[in-house]
Amino acid sequence: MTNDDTLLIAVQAEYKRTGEFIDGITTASATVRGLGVTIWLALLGVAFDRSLWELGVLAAITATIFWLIDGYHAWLYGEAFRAALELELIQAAAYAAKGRLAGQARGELEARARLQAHQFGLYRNFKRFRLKDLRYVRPYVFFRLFYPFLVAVGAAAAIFLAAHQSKPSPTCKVVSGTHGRALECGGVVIVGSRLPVVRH
Amino acid sequence: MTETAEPQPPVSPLLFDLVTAYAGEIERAKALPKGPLKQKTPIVEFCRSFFAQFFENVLGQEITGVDSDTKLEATTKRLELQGEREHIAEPAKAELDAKVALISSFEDLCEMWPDVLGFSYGGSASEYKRFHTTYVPELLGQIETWAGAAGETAIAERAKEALMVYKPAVTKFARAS
Repeated sequence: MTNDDTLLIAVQAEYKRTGEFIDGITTASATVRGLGVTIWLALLGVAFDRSLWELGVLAAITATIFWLIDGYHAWLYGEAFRAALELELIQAAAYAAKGRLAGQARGELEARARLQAHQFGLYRNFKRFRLKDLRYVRPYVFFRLFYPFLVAVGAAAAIFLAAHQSKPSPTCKVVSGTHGRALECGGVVIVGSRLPVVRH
Repeated sequence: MTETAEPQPPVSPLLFDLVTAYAGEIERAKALPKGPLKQKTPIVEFCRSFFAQFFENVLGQEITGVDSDTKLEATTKRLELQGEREHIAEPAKAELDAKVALISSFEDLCEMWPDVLGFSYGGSASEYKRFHTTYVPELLGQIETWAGAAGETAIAERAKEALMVYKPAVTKFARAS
């Protein structure tokens, strides 16, 4: 077995590891999306049920947080996907050197160069994460339509509920005390001669 | 009277001033720089400029940066040279081996560059330290060997001088960093 054969085995092992990482990220992304939508829906449901605009705001904030978490996972997926493609190119060159380009010095050279130029390791090849990287994460339908939609609906629900929230009218009742009759409204007792007479 | 212009060395000996300048910065700070190096840091400029000139003027191949694409070009060149080795005369083998060693150093630099400049995910502190304490001294030594084999005495002398200034500074302060 030559040194290049050993390197190719290492590349294949790295490819397998990268595939497992991608599987893990895909599962995590699905979980994050499911959880995000469930919590968002629950918050909106309670917000309308109780007429609490604050929960609409919370739904919008929750959607934003899940947008970021899912975006980070999508970025990780993108990095791993890029690494997997690179590994496939190395294996494709080795494949071509043994097949289509067999016996040709150029094919052999390219395969060996790709193999030896490869920087081993999945995580070492990850770039530093920056928030602006979220602009390029995919699929666009999730990050440019779906999550903004959740945030917008949450915000719209909060505005709608705040605008239509009727102020509770204070309930008043006549009470008798040492100074005679008085009116108690929301815990405040009003005593005076100009008190309207309320007959039950 | 006609003047014959002296042939220009393939790599500017002035580049080594960047190494001594960086050694001076380490001496003044009494430590290696904290965090990733900047593009304008003298040692970063030295590495980039040296390999750009070496590849263009010695190997006849222009490189556009220090990344995975140029690493692939360098690896291809190294394999070509290694393939030529058995077909050349013995005296020329020393120079070829020195060239191969420098290309290999460039490949190594391409791998650690993101750690040195802080592009990688999290960055590796051990690679950052290795760059300062091991990589640069070895590179200067390899340059001296190559320049000696190629008859570029001015470059060999400057590389040796730079190594004599750089290595003590880094050895002294790397532990404190």
